[in-house]
Amino acid sequence: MQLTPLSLALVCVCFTTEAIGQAIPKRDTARTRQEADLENLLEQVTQDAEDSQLLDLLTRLEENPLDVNEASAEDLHQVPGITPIIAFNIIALRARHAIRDLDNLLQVDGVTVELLQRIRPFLRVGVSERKGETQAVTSYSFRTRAAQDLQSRRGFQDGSFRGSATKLYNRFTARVTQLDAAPGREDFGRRRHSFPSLELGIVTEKDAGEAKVADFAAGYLAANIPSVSTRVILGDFVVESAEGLVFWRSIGLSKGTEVIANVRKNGGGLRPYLSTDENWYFRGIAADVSLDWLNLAVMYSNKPLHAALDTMGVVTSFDNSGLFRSERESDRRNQSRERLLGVRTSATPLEGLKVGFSAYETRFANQVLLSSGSGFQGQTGSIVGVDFSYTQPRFNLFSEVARDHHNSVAGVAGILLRPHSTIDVTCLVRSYPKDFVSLHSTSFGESGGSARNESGAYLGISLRPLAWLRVSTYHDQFVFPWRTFSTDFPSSGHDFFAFSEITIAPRLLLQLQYKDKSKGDRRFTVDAVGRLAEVEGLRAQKNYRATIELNSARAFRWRSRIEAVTVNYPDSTAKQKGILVFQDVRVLPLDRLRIDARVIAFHTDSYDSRLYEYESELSGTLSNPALFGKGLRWYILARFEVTSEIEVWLKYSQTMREGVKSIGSGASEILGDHESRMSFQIDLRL
Amino acid sequence: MRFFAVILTLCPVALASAENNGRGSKAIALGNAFVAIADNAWAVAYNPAGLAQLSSTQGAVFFVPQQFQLPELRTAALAVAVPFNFGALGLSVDQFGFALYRETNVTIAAGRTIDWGVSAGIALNLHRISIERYGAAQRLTVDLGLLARPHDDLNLGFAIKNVTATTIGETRERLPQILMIGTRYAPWNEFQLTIECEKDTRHPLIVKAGVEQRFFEILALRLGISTNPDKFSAGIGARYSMFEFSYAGYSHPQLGWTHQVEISFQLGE
Repeated sequence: MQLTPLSLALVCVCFTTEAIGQAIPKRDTARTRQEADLENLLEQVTQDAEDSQLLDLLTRLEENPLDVNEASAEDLHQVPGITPIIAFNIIALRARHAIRDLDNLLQVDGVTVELLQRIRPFLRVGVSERKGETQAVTSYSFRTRAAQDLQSRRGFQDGSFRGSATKLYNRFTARVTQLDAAPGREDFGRRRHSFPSLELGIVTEKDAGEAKVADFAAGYLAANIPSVSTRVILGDFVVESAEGLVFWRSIGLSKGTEVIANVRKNGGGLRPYLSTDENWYFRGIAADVSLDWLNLAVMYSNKPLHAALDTMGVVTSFDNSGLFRSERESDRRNQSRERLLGVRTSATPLEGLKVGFSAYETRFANQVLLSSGSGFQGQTGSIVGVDFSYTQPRFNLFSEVARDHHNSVAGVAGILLRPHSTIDVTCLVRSYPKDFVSLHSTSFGESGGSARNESGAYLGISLRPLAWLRVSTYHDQFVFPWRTFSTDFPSSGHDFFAFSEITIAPRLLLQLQYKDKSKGDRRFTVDAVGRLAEVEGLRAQKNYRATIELNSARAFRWRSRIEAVTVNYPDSTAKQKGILVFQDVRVLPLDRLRIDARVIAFHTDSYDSRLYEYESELSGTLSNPALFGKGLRWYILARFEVTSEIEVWLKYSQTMREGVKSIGSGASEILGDHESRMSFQIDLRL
Repeated sequence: MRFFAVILTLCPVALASAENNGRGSKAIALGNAFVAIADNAWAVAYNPAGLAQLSSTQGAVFFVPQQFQLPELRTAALAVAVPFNFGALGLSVDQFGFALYRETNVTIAAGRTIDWGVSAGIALNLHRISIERYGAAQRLTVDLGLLARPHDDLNLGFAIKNVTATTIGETRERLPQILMIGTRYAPWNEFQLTIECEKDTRHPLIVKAGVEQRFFEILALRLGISTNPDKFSAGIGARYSMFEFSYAGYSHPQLGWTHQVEISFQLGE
């Protein structure tokens, strides 16, 4: 018999769980809930995106939770699940009396017990009893992570990758926070932020195959100068503002299970950068002045860019992969440079009303003429945008309009409505001309966040008609006025989604989900006389999913899922089908130990009918692998809290595919029918 | 001729045939949807976690005189399960085939309740295949199972066969791995309904469903269906004292009917 680690691991799970009796941990609930929330939020991000900026923002929020008595509406909205309406209502509540306990938030319309569990890790209640006393507290956090494929990829065998196969990641932050600063001011919460007074962050990363441990490095130094209400960031930073038409950098969350909250972006402004997307962020100096009702941020960035140049020194493509494993890949490193001068300002002249203005001017070191034929061209560019948001207890109205240097105008506008405490409605329209160019944006839409060549209308409704039933649905229609990646002609499509969550018994949930998406597509077929013919039409994909989840007390979670997909094509290509079944178990055999294990069986006709499953991962990373062909995948993830300061994570995963001789392609190809990966992480918080 | 037709049809699953064809009249009559029920000694073969439900010693002898009406495809099996303080242990032995081709399986299993209304189990199978004039091969595989009872009338069951992805023979061909996930619902006394899906890594998904109605504690009628291929099954069980006599039959769309009989016993209540 061949004893693989799976058997050992699963046997261990079985017997450790049996051995522990009635230990019911009290600590882990917040984190457990938080991860469930991230799944709803992130499962649409269908890629292996480690260290995405969104996760990074959440890590930052967790390390440095927002003070509910001080945070601005904009800051509160950064927490997943808090809509602008809820943020407005929280501020209205604390204007009446200071919030003394996070449980007080239950008085806010829209905050349910469930939501409170999800947002709790990101919030804190500031001490407001003692007066005048301030105390500087220094905190450090350190995270180190290593991951390795257990099978050797082609690039390592033929020697084209110069480094080792281990992926390494290190992240360090140090913060000096003034606790309990000037309490008792009646105006708190208007425009004040609860930032640390001094902050330092450094991140380094080495991808598998890269030679240096710090192949990529980013970092910043941020200082708060309270006397002039100013914050200065030196080093790497990003800006996220309004609906993302001018400034936005993290994952473009738009459509998904969270049909209401994801639609409204509402950026948090200037922020230090500590992620590992290697190309498009800012490096330089930025300052942010916060007055009572006015916020002004100015920035200057001068950052090298990874790009491919032609013989004339013209940029033909930007390299966003961040992979510099071989000689050829390294030729793209820092080949160009962008210099940018930008400004973002927002004002709150009335309660609930915010108006904003964003603009930048940019200059590349080289001429840019992308071989894809779309996007930015030339050497200089600029953009200006204006936005507003108006919030009242039952609605939020928002819009952003931007104009680029070719006078092309794009806009987005929407409304969030809460006519009744059981009903939420969202409506959003967008119009992005085909020649609109916004280099640093990610906005709501169908085409992966680039605000170009799309117009559309979205309607989302979320209902909780009965205590045991939650129903969410959205419908989105879109038009691409010009050719896209998948078609040569203007096209259109729609996206319909319905989700319901039924509480069958206490602790037992059934979730049903249906998704129907039609989009322009191009197929090549050979006609009756042997000529190659191109057929344009709609590619229609339907996904059906049922999940059953059992949360037995606090120490055990059971989750089973079945999902099916069908894809129809405009031509006579046969319909493609796929199916996925998984069983997931989470156990907390000890107070400090949590184990997640999952087995997934999948069977799809082709890559085009692939299915995704969002996995539990090491904190700070995200995995949503595409499964296709037929086979089995499993993983086991353990999180162990050594002390309250030290946390250790370990994951082992394996995918086995039937009837294939190799997995992947090119330099990443693995010979054989299975691939496995081991990853390990230590988190230190002092 | 018919024999060859059967062999050709079953060829892809030949090595795993013993598992797929089911064990025990009750399970077979319910369309082989037994992962969420697993309440008799055959839990050993379907979901070892089910052993934890047993409150008294149970045993059964099961016989398939001719599968698809072919006397060569003969199966005989027996199973015993004994509850202890720490959980329950089970044993099953079966033999399939005839002189030229024979499969023998010995399974030992353990199941135990965890304090959250969930039970877990593990089974070790020793398979031996002997083909006359070609020799014999054997392998050990491991199955795992889980059973949860979130509510009095509801069960959830999960089992995976061959977790270790064991290979067999000189070609080191990987033996099938099978996932089964099911639910059992018993809204009324004496009635239960079960639905299950089964995914063999090599084959399309199978959906199975079964219903059972008992009358006066002594008689049970069972019906089941399953897909890929479409099969229909039915069975009857009669209880007398500590014994139950049961019959099950299922139809294969191309290969016709297969009948099986079983005698089981249960000590105490």
